[in-house]
Amino acid sequence: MEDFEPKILVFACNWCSYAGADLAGTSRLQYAPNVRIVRVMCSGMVNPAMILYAFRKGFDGVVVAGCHPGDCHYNVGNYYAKKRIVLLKEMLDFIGFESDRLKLLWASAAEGKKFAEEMTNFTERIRKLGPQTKFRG
Amino acid sequence: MKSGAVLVIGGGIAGMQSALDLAESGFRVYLLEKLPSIGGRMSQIDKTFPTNDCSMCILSPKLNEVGRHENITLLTSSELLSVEGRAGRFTVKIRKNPIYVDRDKCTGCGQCASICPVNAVDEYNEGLYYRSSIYIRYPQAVPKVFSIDREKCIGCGICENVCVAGAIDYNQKPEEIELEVGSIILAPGGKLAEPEKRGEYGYGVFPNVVTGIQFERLLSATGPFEGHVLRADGKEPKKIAFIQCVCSRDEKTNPWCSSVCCTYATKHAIIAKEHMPEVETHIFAMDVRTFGKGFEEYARRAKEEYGVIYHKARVPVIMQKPNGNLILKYEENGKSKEEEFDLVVLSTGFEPPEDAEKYAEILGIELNEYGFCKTDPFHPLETSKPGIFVAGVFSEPKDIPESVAQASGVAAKASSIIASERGKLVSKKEYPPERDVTGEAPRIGVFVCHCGINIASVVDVESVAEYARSLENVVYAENTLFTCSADTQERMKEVIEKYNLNRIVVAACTPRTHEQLFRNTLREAGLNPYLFEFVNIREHCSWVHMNEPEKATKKAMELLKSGVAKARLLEPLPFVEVEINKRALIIGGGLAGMTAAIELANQGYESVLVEKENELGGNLRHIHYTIDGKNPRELLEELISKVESNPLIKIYRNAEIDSIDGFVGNFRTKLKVDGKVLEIQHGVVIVATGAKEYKPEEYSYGENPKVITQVELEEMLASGKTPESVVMIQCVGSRNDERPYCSRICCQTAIKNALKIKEINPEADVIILYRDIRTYGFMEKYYDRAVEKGVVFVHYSEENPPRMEGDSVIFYDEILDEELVYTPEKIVLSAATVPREENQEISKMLRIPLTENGFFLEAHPKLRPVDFSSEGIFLCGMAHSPRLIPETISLASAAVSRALTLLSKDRIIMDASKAVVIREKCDGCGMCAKACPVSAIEVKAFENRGVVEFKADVNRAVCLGCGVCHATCPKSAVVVKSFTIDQIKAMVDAIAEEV
Amino acid sequence: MDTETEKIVRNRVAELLNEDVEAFVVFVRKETEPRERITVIKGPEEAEKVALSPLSVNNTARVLLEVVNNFDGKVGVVAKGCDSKAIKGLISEGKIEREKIHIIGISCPGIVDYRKLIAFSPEDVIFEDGKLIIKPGDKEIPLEEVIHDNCRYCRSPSPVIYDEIYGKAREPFDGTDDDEIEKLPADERWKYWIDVFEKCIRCYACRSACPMCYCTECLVDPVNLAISPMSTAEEKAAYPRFLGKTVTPADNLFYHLIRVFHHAGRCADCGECERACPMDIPLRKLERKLQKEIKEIFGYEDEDIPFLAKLDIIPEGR
Repeated sequence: MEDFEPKILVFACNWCSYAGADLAGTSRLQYAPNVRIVRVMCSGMVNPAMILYAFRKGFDGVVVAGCHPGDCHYNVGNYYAKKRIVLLKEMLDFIGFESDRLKLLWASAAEGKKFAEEMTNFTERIRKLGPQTKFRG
Repeated sequence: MKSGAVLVIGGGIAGMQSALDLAESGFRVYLLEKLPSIGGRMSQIDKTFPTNDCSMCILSPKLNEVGRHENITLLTSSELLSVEGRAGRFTVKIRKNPIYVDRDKCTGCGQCASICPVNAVDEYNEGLYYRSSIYIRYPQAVPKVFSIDREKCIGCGICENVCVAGAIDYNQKPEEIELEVGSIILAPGGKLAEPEKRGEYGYGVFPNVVTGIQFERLLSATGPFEGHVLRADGKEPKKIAFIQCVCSRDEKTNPWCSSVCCTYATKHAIIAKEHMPEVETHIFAMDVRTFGKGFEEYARRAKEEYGVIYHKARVPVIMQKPNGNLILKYEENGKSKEEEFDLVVLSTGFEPPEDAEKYAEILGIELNEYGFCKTDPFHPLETSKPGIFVAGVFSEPKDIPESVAQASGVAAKASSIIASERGKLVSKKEYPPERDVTGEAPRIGVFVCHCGINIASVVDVESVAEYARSLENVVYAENTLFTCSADTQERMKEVIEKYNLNRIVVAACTPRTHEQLFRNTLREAGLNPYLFEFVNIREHCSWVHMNEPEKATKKAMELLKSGVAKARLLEPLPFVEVEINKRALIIGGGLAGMTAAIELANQGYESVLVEKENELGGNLRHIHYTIDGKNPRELLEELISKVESNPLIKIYRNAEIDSIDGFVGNFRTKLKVDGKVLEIQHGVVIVATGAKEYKPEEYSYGENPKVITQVELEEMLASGKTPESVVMIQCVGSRNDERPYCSRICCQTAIKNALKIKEINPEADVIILYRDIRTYGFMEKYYDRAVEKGVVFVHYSEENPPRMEGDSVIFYDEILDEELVYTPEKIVLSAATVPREENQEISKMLRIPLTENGFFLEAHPKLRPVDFSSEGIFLCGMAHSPRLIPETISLASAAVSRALTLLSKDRIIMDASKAVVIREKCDGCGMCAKACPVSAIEVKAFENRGVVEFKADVNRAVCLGCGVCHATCPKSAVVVKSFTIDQIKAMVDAIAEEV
Repeated sequence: MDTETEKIVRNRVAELLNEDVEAFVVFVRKETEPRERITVIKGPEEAEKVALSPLSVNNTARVLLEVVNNFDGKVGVVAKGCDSKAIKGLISEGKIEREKIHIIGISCPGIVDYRKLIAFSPEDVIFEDGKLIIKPGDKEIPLEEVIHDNCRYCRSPSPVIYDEIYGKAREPFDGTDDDEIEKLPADERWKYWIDVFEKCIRCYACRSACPMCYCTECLVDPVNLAISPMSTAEEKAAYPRFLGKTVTPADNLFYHLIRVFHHAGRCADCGECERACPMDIPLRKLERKLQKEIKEIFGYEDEDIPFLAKLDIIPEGR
């Protein structure tokens, strides 16, 4: 398991989390290179099917990152993201899939450090969980 | 000859807002800022009250918008030298100070700063941290250009050696420029008072006494300790005191109230609690002045949910213990107390900006008794000199939303005198016709940026470009030193033509700052700008994996592959163009509505003013005098005669809105006037429905004729009757469970009426029973005057309010510690200001939200105070929140300015990345319509081969492109263009495969 | 549903067909075996065929949805508790106009599970006082013995929307929807489900039988688009396929999870999916788990706006 390099997909909203990831960069905060960020306009546009699909394609962890509650550029998109993900995680748990592989992250444009730390922590968490084989099937 | 340009002095949030409004309504703007970057005070703020929004999150899109606007010229590190001429045509001389970096060459990569050996005090972090000598004020700064602080520079030349762009220029000289402008806006902000003036607080001597703005930096994730609040000795504080009115409401320093500190201290206490749940926070204030929209509820939450403790006390002195802790001595409820804290935050107030006198001299404007810019209460946006306007803290201390509203308001004022020059100096870029790429197989061009060495020193960019060439549909790939440089843009255009490219992928920095630049280049090359995809291999790769070059290179390749995968599926998107009907509908014929109508007419635009009563004037009809001795009757008459005589203003009295349909630019409204229904077409709506005085159910109002409201007292005084003795009770119907908000205006009304009584009869007894006296800003002096004139102020607490027995008022005096009984001639209730019932109807018709209290809810409480989330609808006056005459005028002008950004255009062009329904997949279940945050989707009947089908339909003019619909639809029958499910899936597929 | 209720309903159907109702979605008894099927009758003379008994197992909403727009006039429907839930959902989602239908609501005592009944090899079944009398042999068995498991957890045996209502309902289920599976360790849960979904042949019978799965195009298995004359070749090619053509347990799980997800707050709890499944997959376990969570976490229960479209502001910490 030591040499297992998890592959992690991050959907980051354009207004807060993507900007937070940018700030991590401008501040040269180092984090695990296992993370791949896909930009979306709002965490509320991330389709739950796309999350499952990412697992199906073999990603070991998926993060949906959006604005803090109340900060959404579209006012409420992040609340939709949250309810879907909370529910999806419950269902994943129910079928015995490690729901910890899916993370909802609030990261603001000023939270470069938080973003970087969360990426490293999540990578380590997934590294401990080992390769995701259930959905890769 | 007038000039169609405006000079805006001050690049803070107010100056930025003025600049954007003007540039968007057809005027050229020069934005002057003395610092190297714009953003002002707001850029230093961690969170904004009362929503605890991340300040940078909401500011940074505006920074970029200003930075790249073709009609805004940024003059940073610059100062005003002289101004000549008059309204309509000023000649302005400005000096651009040297920054020793070529502004055009610098790419903002920051290589220089990372090796600069100098440690200088970081002003952005309020001296709590260090910066290099070559520096940028903060990471998101605009313009993204570094500058050398020559006072600190040791001249070692290392930066010049590492700058790949060759931007360092030690010999740069000051440059003088001359501009012709039609009007000038002053928005230089204010200075924060130096707490050294109150030596008894030990600031600068006791290491654990900091100022509010320093505390703000301590809380910030980009601050000195990355958001950890630490004392000078590195320990986390356990007990923090916030001392209010440091250099405010203070005869020795500044007598005025700074208006913002009570709420910002509340915010500091809340955020501190969020950072350190165990910390104790105490706020020491004479009065808690949380009077703004949502502020009172915020303070209540601070108390009830966060356990913030408020003391009604002024702290006279702080002493330090050997361990650095601080002892506060104060009096509360008539008792002397002493308490120990390990950190003290001084909530320092605003002072006039440093350059106030310089501006007064150069511009020939008058300052007021306090050194702020002098304005007239009925003309709050105008300086004493025609053609020169003022917004923000320079005219009076105020918070961000009020400053932003004023900034919009002055934009309307400044452009109204040069309305004839609209559109004359703005550049309209001409683009070649777009090449039709439908049916063509993707031919993708890839540009991989070195960014000097920012990317190339970590990522093997040559290999990445080589890898790009191996990808399907990529017909061209190259490495560039700086992809954003002007010569690369030219090269990109050549390459597009030479290789007949129809998609472009740039692997460089972040789309958040550079996407528009490249999209523009595509347009110049005759390609639809949406055929562009950005891959971030700097902020998201080379800069965050500096020690792992191999992994970073592999990651860069994967990211590029996913970008190419998305690019294959990109479609040319037509811009959403909406024609704009140039007429405004104004709902409400009070002060706000009439002001808006007049401002619009001054700019040459028609409006329809709808008043439900048979007289114009609204609440203004009930105001007989103002606290500052102005005559509101004159104002009322002037306004009425202006709106009635202006041919551009059509007035309907006794009119009711029956229905409103349509969207931005194209509204259709049915009005019911005298039983008849008539239809009006208009492009924008300004909601100015006002508010009204609450009819109290407390204190036997309505039963006991001795009990009246402030409005009734004012009528009585105006009719020549003056009571011998009066008890006024504040906060009747406000700040309670039913109406948790502060009605803002009643403290000043009470003092106004009290002073009036004292003026007529100095012997009259006037007692004001209050919870907090909220005479914010310069109104503080009337509070002082009332005390001088013998008006008696007695505090009461929420738990122990005054009560009535017969005709007597019984109240508890905290200082005497006993209950007093008094039987005055009149008992005057300072009744709440409540929203109008018709707000409910209008909210439904326009699909715009209301707050829990029934006032209208603006698009954003901080930066969009008069906008709604739905485009083309604006808000002003007391329909927004209770407010005074000058504030109402500012807001009305602001709504007009925002409306002008639309009305000044024949059509508006919107971002094309919007939701689209794939009709044949849609079942018309309407889930998307129910979820849409802006109600842009409707299920409609469509005829398809003779069969009527119900399908969802997106109004692209209303859609914001958030994609909540897409993720809600069970079959993805609605997608957001540029972020469609197949595009995202292609990206996921591409990243999933190993390179 | 006793013979008395059956008689009343039969009469009412005849009467209504004489009035303004053009067609009626009803149950009729099969002649060859003790089963009932749903059919559409148009004339009052056909009403004598109308059956109503615990053998009226299927959900009438699905048939109603399919036929309602074939008639200009009103269409009647006989609806048990779960049928009415589906009808209510279909109305709120704009699929059926309330004014176009007449609902005879049936308070439901529960329905028979044919798979249990078959053990008694019945040639005919008669219902009396909550008991079944099996022919030949006149063996009496209580309904509870052969009742559909789904009915044991039925929270609304009485219709939620109707124009008139008959019959006597069983006690609504009032317990919690905890499933024994939840108590298993994660690995065993996974094993359970992957074993279950090993069996799935993705015949989509569950989807076809479900009254709420009316999408003409399914996100996880777009079929119609591929043959639609209206979509361009590019659109067909570009339309994303989430699942492979071959049947794998992980793909099956993906399909079922997403299908269930889309039912959040919309499921009629009728159990048609399970009845339709040829592989005996316990699909209701997923549906019930989902409905339980949206109720527990979000407090969502019987609301007009579908769960996924509703704005919920849930406190931090979840």
